[in-house]
Amino acid sequence: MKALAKSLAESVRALVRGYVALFRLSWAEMLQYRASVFLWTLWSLAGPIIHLAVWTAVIEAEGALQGYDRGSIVAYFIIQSIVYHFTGAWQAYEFSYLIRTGTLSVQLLRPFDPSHYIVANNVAFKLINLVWLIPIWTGMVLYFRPEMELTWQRALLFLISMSLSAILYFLWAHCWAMVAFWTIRASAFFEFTDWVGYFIGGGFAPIALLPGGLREAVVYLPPYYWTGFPIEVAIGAVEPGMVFTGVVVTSLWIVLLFLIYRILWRQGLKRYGAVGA
Amino acid sequence: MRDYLRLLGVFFRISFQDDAAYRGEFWMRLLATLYALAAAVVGLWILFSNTDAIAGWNIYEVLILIGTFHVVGGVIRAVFAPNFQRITEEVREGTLDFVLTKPANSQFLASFRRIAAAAGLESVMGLLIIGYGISQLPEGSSLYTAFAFAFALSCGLAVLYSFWLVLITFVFWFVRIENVTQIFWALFDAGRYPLDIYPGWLRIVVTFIVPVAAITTFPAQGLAGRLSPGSLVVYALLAALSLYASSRFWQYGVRHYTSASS
Repeated sequence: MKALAKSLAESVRALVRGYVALFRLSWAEMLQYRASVFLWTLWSLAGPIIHLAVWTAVIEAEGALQGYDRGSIVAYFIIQSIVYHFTGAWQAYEFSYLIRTGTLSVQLLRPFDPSHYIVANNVAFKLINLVWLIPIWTGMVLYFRPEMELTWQRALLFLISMSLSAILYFLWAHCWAMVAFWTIRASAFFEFTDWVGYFIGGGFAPIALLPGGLREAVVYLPPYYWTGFPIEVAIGAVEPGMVFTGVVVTSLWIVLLFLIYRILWRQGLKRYGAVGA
Repeated sequence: MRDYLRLLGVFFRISFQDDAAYRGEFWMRLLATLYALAAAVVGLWILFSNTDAIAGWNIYEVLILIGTFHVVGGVIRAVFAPNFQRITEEVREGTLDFVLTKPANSQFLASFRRIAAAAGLESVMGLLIIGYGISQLPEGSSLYTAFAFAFALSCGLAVLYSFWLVLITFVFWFVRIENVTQIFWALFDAGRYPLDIYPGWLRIVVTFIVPVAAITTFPAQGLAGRLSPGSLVVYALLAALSLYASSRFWQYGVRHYTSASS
């Protein structure tokens, strides 16, 4: 029993050490390309700002829509830019490159699952960009004047639901990255799901504004939980009782996707070896 | 002039032969174009299920605007962006010298050597959207509005071409300028909706600094019958001026270009 505890502690320590090293590596890579990284984040703000303007124009002409007035729609899209930043994941575009060029073989030789590298890289990107994103977000708040009630409780719930969203979307992207073991077009499929998710998950508009009762149909699907749900939690558009339900649904999707990822990874690796790389 | 047209034909043929080697790319382009079309339609459907006008533009007028947006987007992706990318590569590798020593106008060579024909599919799709939008406008569009549209669109493309030529010229000094194109695409995206919806500073940026207004909103206004002959004359003057200025800037850049080896 003691030996088991000791070996467990040892492997946790090794994991932490590994993460620190990977994190440093990613950080250095990001700094090297800071100009591109900066422009990339600026680019990601375009969508939320454009749709903030579009929906503000609509609401100014029509009056409040499904409870969204000027102040709350502005809050929705500003928080959307925050959620998009913290939930981003792009490995589906890069993993097939690792497979095609055989770089994955090098990573497999390291005493560390390649997925850890992807996680470290993801977190480093999100942290380093805060240097300019926090001033930009502050500027957006001051300029567009969102209206929302900010309580500690709500902020905490927002942080929890957004963290879950980040894990959920990361796993979604990760599953599609694994599909690259079978087809080099995996990223195209991922892009397609992203595209559909943009409309049904609260990217283009809050799902309450979807026509024809579509809202009821999409409210349990994953895209809502990686975009719309955390935003609505922050601005108070989700009833208090439903917040808990949403957190549970997100967690269930996370468990399911994690299992799928593990299966795809095992099977894919067998296939990868079989090609003789 | 005839020589240059012939050259353009040759460039097109060579580019097309290059592309034909990568047929998968063509299908991906087609797919991307269909995505863009579907996204436009779904977006409009969601928007207009909540309202019947955006900043005074009805659904068919916005449709025409989106069509124009894609016509222009196709031209950029087919002509402006590939040539820009090629020049940055050549400056980095020092092979631009071979281009500059050719017995033809260097600006022409820099602008039109590479034509990604498949990307032009987006323009075709844009024209179809515009056609549908026009057919749904209440009073049939008169000859003048059609002319105003085509005229404003040509002026807009000329302004946009000048903008990209200036970008290309900056490569002589800043090799990493390609990052800036990302900002262009972000601002260009704003052109899919009437510019009246944006806050003042953004309108100024997309009208005067990056010419998004000139290529999408203005021509679409022409179709909706909101452009007077007077403003057409102003556009023509603006287009001529920007062509002249950017061309001078290119010549200045070439004179100060010192190749990779020296």
